[in-house]
Amino acid sequence: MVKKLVSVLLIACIVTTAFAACGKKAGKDPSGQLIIGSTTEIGGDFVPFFQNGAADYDIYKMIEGNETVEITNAGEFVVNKTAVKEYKTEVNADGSKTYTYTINKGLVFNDGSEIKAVDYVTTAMLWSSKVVGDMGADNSLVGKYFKGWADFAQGKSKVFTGVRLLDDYTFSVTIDAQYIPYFYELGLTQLGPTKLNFWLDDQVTIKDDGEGCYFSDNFTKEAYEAKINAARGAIPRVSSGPYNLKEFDESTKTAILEANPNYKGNHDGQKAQIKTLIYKKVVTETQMDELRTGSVDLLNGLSSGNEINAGLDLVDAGGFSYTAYDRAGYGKLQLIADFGPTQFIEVRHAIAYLLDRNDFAKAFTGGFGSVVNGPYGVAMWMYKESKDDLDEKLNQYPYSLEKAIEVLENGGWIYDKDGNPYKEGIRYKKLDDGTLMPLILEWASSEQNPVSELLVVKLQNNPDVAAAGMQINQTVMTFTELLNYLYRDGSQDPKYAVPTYNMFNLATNFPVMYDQSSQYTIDPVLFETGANDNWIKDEELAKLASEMVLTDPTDRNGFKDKFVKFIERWNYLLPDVPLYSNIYHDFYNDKLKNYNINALFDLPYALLYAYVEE
Amino acid sequence: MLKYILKRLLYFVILIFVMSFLTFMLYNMIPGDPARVEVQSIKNKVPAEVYQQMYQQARQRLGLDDPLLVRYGRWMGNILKGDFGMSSVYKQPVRELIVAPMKNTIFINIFAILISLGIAIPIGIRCAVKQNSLFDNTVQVFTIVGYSLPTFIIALVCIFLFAVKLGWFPVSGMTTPNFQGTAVEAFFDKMYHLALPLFIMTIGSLGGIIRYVRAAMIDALHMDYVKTARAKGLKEKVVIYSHAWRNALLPVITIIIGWFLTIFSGSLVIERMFNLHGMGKFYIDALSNQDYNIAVTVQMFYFVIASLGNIIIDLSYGLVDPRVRVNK
Repeated sequence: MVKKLVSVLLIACIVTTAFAACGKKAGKDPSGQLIIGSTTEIGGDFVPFFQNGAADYDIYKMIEGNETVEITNAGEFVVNKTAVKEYKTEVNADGSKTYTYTINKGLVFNDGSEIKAVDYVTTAMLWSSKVVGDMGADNSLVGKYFKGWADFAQGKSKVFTGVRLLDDYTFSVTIDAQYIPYFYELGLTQLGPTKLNFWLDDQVTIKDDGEGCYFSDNFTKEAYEAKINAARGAIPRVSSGPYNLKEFDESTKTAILEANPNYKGNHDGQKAQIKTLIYKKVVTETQMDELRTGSVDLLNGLSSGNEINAGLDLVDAGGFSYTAYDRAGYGKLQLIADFGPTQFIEVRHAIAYLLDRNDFAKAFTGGFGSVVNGPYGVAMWMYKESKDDLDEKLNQYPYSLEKAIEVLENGGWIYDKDGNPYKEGIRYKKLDDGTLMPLILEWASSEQNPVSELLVVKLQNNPDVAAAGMQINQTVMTFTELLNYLYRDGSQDPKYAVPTYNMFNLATNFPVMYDQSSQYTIDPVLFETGANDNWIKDEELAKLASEMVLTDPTDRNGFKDKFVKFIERWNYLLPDVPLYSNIYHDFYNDKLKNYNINALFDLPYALLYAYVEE
Repeated sequence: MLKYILKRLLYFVILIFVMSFLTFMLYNMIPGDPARVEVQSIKNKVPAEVYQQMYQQARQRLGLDDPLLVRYGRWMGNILKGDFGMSSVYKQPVRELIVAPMKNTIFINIFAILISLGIAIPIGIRCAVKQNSLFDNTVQVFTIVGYSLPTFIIALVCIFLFAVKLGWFPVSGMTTPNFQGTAVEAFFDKMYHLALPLFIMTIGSLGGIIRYVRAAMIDALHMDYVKTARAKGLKEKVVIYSHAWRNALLPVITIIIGWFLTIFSGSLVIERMFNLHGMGKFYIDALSNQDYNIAVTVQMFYFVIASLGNIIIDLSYGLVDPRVRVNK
């Protein structure tokens, strides 16, 4: 009886303490300071429309907020109830779909001014306008899926028909019929507020006469280019996210952010708990020393084995912690499927059998990586939920010279250069027109690329490759020239338009919106542009990729089933040989608590839930 | 003399035009497509037709579809108006982007040169006067070591020793992030951060200048006028500084002037190791990003500085040594 009583009291104490701790943390004012070391340079342009620096984008995500739709830590889109009072959807007669949002009253920018529907509309209008497009900005980032975007963005129409301002607190966006249904359609309606008079001035207005929003006629590039360019780097700046940009030092590439007291919270109601964030540039060679000496408190996204081992040594010494998470993407050997030996599936399979991918991944990542068997990252929810099924269905292409020879022989690679039965040297295949094709693969690799160097050792110079009757010739070139060959861009030089290389070593990352329909399209027009840069024409693969994203957003299981079918087909066709998927490591000072990052819920999101304990 | 200067300036202008043409052509012959680089990162994020449209827009905006001569003419015309174009990476005017790294580089180099000269000249003179002494031999050994060791090795060793182990200096950076203090305190904070890179830059440059001063001084000390001065019974200090050093200064001064002209040149290794935003890193980053407008501007700037520097050095010969003046 006494034991039971003590146990109950003990549990009660633990629970009470835990709740007290949580409550204290949640209700506390933000405190402390955290210095984030970034090997990516901070450019100082904290909107993503003019450039795509990763560090600048992180800061952009920290200073902007109150979006209609946000990402959960599982990498899924949810409506942000803190900003949105209610929303409704309506499928229109032309097949388009309208999302109407009513925002909560009382939301404010960091300057104290109230956020209204027009501020959400401003985001779609300003960043889709021809004016910013002509200034060199990417004006497709915000509104490209909305009805009428192309005409508005190219200046053919003054009115953006897919964006409506309905009243002070209500606006709507209409997704064009060509994108409906779309599994990620909620994500397409993600809009945050932008203060129009910060970027332009009070002279420019946005109106809606019932057909869609439009700018007043005085909004021209000539009149506002200088103002917009000045606003890109302006401090203080009007924003509404969890942090305010307090300072950016161009000479030291250091940005200082302070918690925004006016921020009401994200979709969970979560507000910033760290008072000051400092984003500082560090260099790879000394970043661990910076962490050790306290010059920085957090290093994000380390992937090299040497760096990670140095970090783990630091953790072992005490005072530091780390979080490891899987990359949503992988490094790959991309095979070209419309000419030369790699157009034959047996050759693509043979390459996979001749490369010990586990050994490669271990060598390249220093043991901090894994091997995937399809175009997915192990952090993705659909992979996690169908892992057992996929593990059973997918061919892992284990290293085997015998298997490589077998598939090549089954594929007709059974001749020597004279057309006699193959005995040694390079294999040949007799084509339909009677000519012999040698099993020689031309490989394009970018300069100073450690993956290429390892591929030379593990694949090109592997004696089993020669034993299988295959020869691989490497050509090293600049990355941009490699891209010209990959996309067959004859506008630069006619030589690029001629299919020349059978394989390229590249890497890819998958965003939250997992859409492979363009990558494997067989649409003749898109195919010619190099959208499908494996140049693989497989109707079933294209169909499965399209069907997956054309799933109704509420049909989560349906999407998952289609994902499995798509991956299965891909794994059979093998347009890429996945080489490695990194396990990223973030190392940080022990003072940082509750830091739970993953590949999709990255630094700006994870830091919102973290706090420092000095 | 005036005619000579005008002639040199005329050559300078012609040279600049020729070099600008060659540089522009060379940069544009580099295989690659800046428009592709610009839009590549969004390839998998937007529909293929949108990607293609944006790619074509980027080509149009960057003027890549025009003939090369037209592009050169447009570029040169803008350069003469002080418009160096837009950075294709930062989408900001090159003229604005170059200010911060240039300021940093000049700030660092001025201190590095002054410290180096302040140390190297007295040591070089003493080594020459005490030729083959223990002091001279020791300095010779250290200068050879300093001269031969790659800067990044010295930097890594110094960072490990003075920043990590002893904690005397910060590992990198130019200021304490979020530093609150007066302007004077901010200056000292900056100097505290720059102490280690300046120390390494000084070590790296001491070897060459010490040996140069020493050699010039040894030559001067063996001249007849020095023997005459000694024979006259002048004090050794007067012999060394008034007679020998003044004459030794003639070859040294041109080196010093040339050295001062390098205050605009960034040190890639030091900037990279200590994370300093200077001209060396700025230029290399532009090259690796194929940000042609920045790369060509920096290249042309260095070319102008080098050409002007040569004119100044040639003129300085005449100023310090009347024997080589063009007209008397």
